[in-house]
Amino acid sequence: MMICGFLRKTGTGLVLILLTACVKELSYNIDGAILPVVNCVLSNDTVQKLTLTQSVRIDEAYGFKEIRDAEITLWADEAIAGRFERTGYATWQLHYQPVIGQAYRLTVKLADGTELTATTTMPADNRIVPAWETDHYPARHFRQTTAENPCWIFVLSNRNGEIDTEHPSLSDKSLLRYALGTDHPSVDRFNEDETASDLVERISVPVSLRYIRTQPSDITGEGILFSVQTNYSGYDFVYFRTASAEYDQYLKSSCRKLIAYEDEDDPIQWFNEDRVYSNIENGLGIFAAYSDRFIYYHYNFFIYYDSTRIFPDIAFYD
Amino acid sequence: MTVHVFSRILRFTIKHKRTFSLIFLCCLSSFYVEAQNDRPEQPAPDTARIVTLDSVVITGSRLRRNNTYQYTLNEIKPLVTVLGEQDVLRYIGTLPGVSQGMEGGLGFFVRGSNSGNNRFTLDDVPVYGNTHLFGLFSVFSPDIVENVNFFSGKLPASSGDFLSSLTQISSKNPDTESYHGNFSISPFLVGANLTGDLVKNKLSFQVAGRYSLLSQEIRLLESMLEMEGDIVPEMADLYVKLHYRPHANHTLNASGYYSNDYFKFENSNFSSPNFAENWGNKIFRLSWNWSLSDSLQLNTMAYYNRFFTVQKQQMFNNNVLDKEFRMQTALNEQALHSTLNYQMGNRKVAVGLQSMRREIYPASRKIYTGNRDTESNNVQSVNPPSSAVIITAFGDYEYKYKSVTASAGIRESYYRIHDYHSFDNNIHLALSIELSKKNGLELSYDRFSQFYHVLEGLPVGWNLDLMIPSDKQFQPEKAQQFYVGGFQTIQQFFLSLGAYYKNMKNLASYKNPANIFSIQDNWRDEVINGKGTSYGLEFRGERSGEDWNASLSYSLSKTDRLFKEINNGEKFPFKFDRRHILNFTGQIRTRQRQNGKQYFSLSSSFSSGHNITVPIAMYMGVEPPFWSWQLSNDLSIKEQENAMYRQLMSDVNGYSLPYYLRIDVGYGFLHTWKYFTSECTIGVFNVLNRQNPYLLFYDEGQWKQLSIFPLIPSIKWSLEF
Repeated sequence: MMICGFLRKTGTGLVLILLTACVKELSYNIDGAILPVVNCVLSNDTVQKLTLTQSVRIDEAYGFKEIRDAEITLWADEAIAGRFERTGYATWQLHYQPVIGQAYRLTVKLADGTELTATTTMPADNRIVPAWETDHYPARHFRQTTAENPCWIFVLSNRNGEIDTEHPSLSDKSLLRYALGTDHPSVDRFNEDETASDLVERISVPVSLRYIRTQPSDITGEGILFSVQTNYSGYDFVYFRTASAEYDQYLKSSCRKLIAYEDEDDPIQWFNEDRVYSNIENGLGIFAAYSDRFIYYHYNFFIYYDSTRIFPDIAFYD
Repeated sequence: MTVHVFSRILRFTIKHKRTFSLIFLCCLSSFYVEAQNDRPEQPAPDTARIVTLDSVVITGSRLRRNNTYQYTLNEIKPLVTVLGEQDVLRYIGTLPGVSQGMEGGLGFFVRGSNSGNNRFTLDDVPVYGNTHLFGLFSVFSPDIVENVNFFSGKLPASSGDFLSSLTQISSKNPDTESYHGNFSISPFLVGANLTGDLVKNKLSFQVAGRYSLLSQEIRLLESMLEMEGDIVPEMADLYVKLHYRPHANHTLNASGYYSNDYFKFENSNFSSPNFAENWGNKIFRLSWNWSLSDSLQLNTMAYYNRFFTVQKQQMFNNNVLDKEFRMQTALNEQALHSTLNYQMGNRKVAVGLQSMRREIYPASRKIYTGNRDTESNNVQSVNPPSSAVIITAFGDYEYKYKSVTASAGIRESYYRIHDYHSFDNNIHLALSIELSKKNGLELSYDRFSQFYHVLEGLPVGWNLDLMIPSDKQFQPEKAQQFYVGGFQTIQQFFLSLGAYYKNMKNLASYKNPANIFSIQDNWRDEVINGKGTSYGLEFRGERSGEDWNASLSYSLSKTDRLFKEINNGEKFPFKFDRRHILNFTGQIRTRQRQNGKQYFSLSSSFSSGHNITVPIAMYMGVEPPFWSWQLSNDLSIKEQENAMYRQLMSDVNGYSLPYYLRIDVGYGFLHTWKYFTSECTIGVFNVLNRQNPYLLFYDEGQWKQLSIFPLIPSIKWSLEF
């Protein structure tokens, strides 16, 4: 029995207990749930996407059937913001740019009379600006002056410098950084992993996997100065995704569930009873919202790209 | 020492081959002795004269009561354990109202409470780390145990700070006249015990210790298990007691208890981190008993109690230690207790004061970078300790009038930690009505408070659960319990039947089950408060005899929990809400000789399966941000799958596993020589080799069941001198 893989999670205790344990296959009939599933996360893009499918029993193949006949409406308060149109298998879209601070309601009326509903609010961006004066590898520094909503931070790095610095955008050579850390005072440590700290040279803060989540808080005065540390390549997009409450809960519960499946051989996943958040009434899935902004670092200068502004800020630093 | 608030009658039989002229009576209500004489009956003498008896049979009867059980090592003998070690706590699992957690473990859930709500004391000192080897057997060596009192209700006011059951373990007093001891060995443990007098009838001592042989045995098995590194489990405990009686009215006891479990996993090539887990107890106790008169006693005790758990990870860079992470949960207690016991006729009174200072380290984390030996260590620490003070005054009163015994106890506590303080009162009321000499009714009401929370992970009864202090955010846990029942004695049989109702509040639990495997130092964000209720029926039947004895317990109960952020705020079944629990234990003497005997033991355990949450469906999900912008070979297939899809879980604890059934058998050989007695016991745990389901999960397209213990044989040999 190969033990090494799951000790990171369970420690030696479960090893000894499972030394005598046995696993056997059995036939078990469990009542499955076939429910309509709608996924729609509003963003600050001009096109909003939605999927509409059905769930399947746990012991069936994962061929999710689409629900073709439906009337899907996005409401802003009591007014119709738009209706989604089907553009492909299980895929719908709506040309609409959400308004910050606006409360939205999604209704999905199915052919059998079932109505799925959910609500969310487009979050206002947390104000975060570069504080590049104190930057030193592997840390980039930032100053946050508002924190009304949860914020998810992640870094995508390009493996070369082939980025249009006037209009920086991700390319097929961009990679999501696996290990990153922060000294933000409101960081949520739910996905910290001490064993990953050796993946980031000279990191001086606890390491989180892929994403850093910071909690809302009241900020006064000059704000919070914090760093994000990772293996910056020199061509990096540091993203700050401000999440609505629904998106935040959905993403956190999804990431938490993922932790149990990091290692194929880890029996900790057998014990996993985590639930992923859903706010869809009469169905499953998620209706939520987020707003992205990123800062692009190009070797010795950065471009602060605010998704709500037309022109980026550019600053040079040594 | 705790005053027992109910009366008992102890039945035992003693045969003496020698002639003697003394017949004794026992106090503590209705304890009687029946003396028998082998000679033909003589006519009543006209005048008093001395009669020499050849042999005397003294028979007493023990009348049990509901809610409370006293047992000795004799009662636990029929129980076969996983490791073959006699275990004084294992007996609790056979009593009514007790639901077991994981098979073979010592996690007990009494009348719907959590395992962390039970209190275990050794000579009135709480023992927080009460199990070895991740919950497989207890830290209490049978060599030091005199008797055990288990209370599931009708609790003494002198004990508090728990929400469920109280298990009082009393240690033996060292022999004041001669030396004796014993040695025992089994495949897992070697133990020894020595007691004797240093000054005859004045000063005596006892030393008892145990040490595990597991580390040596696992080394032998390493090649079979294909381990990449070394697993080193170590376990030991040591007990030392000095008993000093300078005067007939004064007794002084000093004792120390030490237990330690250490488990280490080391990689052979430093490619992966090394892990270690360590937990243990250190207890020092001083007590003074002063008999002011025949009816008045003053007991004063002071103790220092330390319990700790540490988890450590070491990471290496080029075979050199680069980082070390330590997570510690610890509890330090210092306490001073004093109790005045008064008994006169049909009245018993106990009043007392207790003061305690408790320091808890709730998941304190330290990170060391660099070589620990150099000055360049960078130590970061989080979660500093919390210090609490608890001052308690209590009183117990019992009054017996004819066939009615009434008792009342009150315990008033002042609790303070940081900027939070509270006054809590515990109340214990009981009424026992003897309808006849052989039957009666019993009613009780208990109100409890507990000033710390145990965040339970796996229900093994291990000591790795996080303990957090009660404070403003997580206030003291509280419970109320009502009980009504009856008892009947028929010759050597004792029967009891009762019903209980219990409600609990301010229970602390993790929001997410994922936390059961790791102690989070940000636990404040992961823990919530909730409530629980439990009610049920309990039946107990016992037969005590010289040739055979047996007991049967049955419970029918229902237990729920209600937490705002769990199960969408709806009530859900408690995980170990086992609807039916039926336990049987029995021992029969198969052979009796002048210098030995043999006995056969049988025990069975049947219960409804516990409750689990299972995935019932899959559905399309929203990938985490830029998830597909990773190198795919860095991801496991299951990780990728769970990023794209989501599992729909059943209602919390919405499914019950199939029933649990286990039968254990044992056989013992006892042989007595002039100076030695040897005993060899052979046991088979789970003789049916039934794969009792502990877990049901869906993996690789198939439902699977995890069972923990198959048929496990055991053997133990001991020598007593």
